Amino acid sequence: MGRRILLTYGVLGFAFLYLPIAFLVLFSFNDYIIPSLPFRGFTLKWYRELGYDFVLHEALYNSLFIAAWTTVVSTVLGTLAAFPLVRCTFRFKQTGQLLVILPMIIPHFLMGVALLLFFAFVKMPLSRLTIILGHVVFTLPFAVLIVSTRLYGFDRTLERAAGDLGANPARTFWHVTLPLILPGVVGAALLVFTLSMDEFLITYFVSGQKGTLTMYIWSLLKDGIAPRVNALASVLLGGSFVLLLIGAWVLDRGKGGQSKRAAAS
Amino acid sequence: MTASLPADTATAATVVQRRVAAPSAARAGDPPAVELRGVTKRFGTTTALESIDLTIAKGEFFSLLGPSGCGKTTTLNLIGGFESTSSGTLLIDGQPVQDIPAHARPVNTVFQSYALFPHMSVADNVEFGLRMKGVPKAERRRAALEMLKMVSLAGYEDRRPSQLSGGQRQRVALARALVNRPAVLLLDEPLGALDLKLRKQMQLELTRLQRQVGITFVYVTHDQEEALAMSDRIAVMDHGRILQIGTPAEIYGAPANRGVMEFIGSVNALEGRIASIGAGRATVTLEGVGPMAAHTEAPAAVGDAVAVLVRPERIRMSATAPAANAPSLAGTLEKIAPLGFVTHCTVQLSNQAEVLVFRLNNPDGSGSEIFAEGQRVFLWWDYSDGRMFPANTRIDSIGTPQAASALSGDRHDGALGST
Repeated sequence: MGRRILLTYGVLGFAFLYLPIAFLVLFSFNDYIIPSLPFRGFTLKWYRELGYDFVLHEALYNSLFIAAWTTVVSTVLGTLAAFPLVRCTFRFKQTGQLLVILPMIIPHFLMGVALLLFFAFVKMPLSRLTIILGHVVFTLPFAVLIVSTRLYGFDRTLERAAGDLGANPARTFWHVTLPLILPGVVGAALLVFTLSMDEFLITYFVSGQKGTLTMYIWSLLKDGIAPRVNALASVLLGGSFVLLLIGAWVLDRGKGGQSKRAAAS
Repeated sequence: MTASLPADTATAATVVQRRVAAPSAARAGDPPAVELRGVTKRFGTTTALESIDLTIAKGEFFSLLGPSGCGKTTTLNLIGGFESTSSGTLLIDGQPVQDIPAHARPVNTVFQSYALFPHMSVADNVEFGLRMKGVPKAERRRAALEMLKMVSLAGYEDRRPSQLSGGQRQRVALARALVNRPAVLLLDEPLGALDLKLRKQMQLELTRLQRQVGITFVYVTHDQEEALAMSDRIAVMDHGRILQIGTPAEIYGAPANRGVMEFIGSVNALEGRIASIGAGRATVTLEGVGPMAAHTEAPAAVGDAVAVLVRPERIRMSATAPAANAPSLAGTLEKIAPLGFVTHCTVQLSNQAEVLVFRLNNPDGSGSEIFAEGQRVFLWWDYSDGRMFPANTRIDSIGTPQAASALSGDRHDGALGST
């Protein structure tokens, strides 16, 4: 009896989380211009329509371009920042860690305004570059956090052993440290990419002429909910899910993989 | 096994010759493998090593033995290049190495935690050092396989370290270090994480391997039995100083001071005053009990307060008093504890002090006399077995918890407890 209540409770909880998304995906296949029940029939025409939309294509290209650069910059900077924040002892270390994490909890709306004011102040024209900079600011804490968790569990004797066996510090990093924290770095990169692709508010403030995918969807919504938006959102959703799954898999493999391999043999 | 080592210096000397002659291929004129001259290491205001002098010959199995915090690991880290000396000279193969970083020294280390690279196969682990030196792939693979064979791990080359047992990881760590043919191999308590049986087995294998490859081993341990069993020579350390350097037989049989004697093996300490002395032989009166035999190389005079330290296995026990005018102590046999090949007997003297006596359970070892708990016994020993040191010179961290007149039976796990 108690189990049944718990089960119902669980199902309701997941329904609350995922039902709206399920409807979104469902209506993207609905053969009717207005996304409402009842279901009129299965169609892929909204997906086909995406293929003819050249504005959409440019927005997608912009988004991928921005996300790719954000990923590279954020992951590299985040990895570099994680090392001193985890390993070194210095004055105000905790303050430093807090300041690195802080952009995570600053509302994107405020950050967007702040960035816009800043770019205006330094007379930097709004472009894809400003969007990338904005995205780096809000994704960096995620990258630092994920790489840090890897570094906290890192046995530094391994680096000593590499040095003992004749590897200089650079080769020690390349052959020992980097391979061992790689799951963290890859996980960070995937998360940063996803966050950047989905970002809207900051992008909206600092984008200038170049629209991204999220901004394009926003513009479509102004004329009511077009079925095309459902199709596009479904595609984006699928892409994000795949990336997150890969990320989770890579992170898990890095953590538990050793024991799993041991058990398998 | 320590109990069976000869304790008198004459026998010890022959053992010394045998052991030193055996492993070393060093020719006269070769520089020593490692030499420390007045090496001091400070961490902030604390001194970890105080002006250490140490010479380790080529091909030697040398142990640094002492309690935790004695400076043995610091010494190892200095040789390995993981720490830098505060002052003094450190030579490896005759070359000063103070300014050479760890990765450029002809030294390899076996870490206590093994520190195998978890993302590499066993073979890749073993090859790592040669790879860093730029040895071609085929050649280094061959060397790695050969070395794995030497440590009895042929066929394991494609496994991951996580798929190996503790003992196997230990061997991989050894192979990974030895394949580089270092001038010196440093071992930091490498058997500490293994269970007792495996540890014994690895002790034998390590000594065999060392003879086979002829590489100088510097071995850090706090386990005196391990050091005695494996080493050509041992440096006993405490509080950042070296108390004594010598062969296992010398360290055990002729300890340079009370600290060494109390750290190595089991020991009874009885404090009294010198009643008579001549030519290093003394009779020491244990107040209210009787006279004891003792000897010393240091100058001493009648009336001096001294401690007589005697190994439990060197004490003779009988229900009848020894021959006339031989010093002996009378007491009550409190407890007989048979521990397999040896029996631990606790004798309470009339001043309440307890003396531990080991009797080997064979007819030659301790005679066939049968004892019963509660009976009156006499204890005596040869002059050469009672080592006399000035009273109150004990070094606290290294010795037994007992302070003054006698040693009770509760800390005799040293020499034999692990057998």
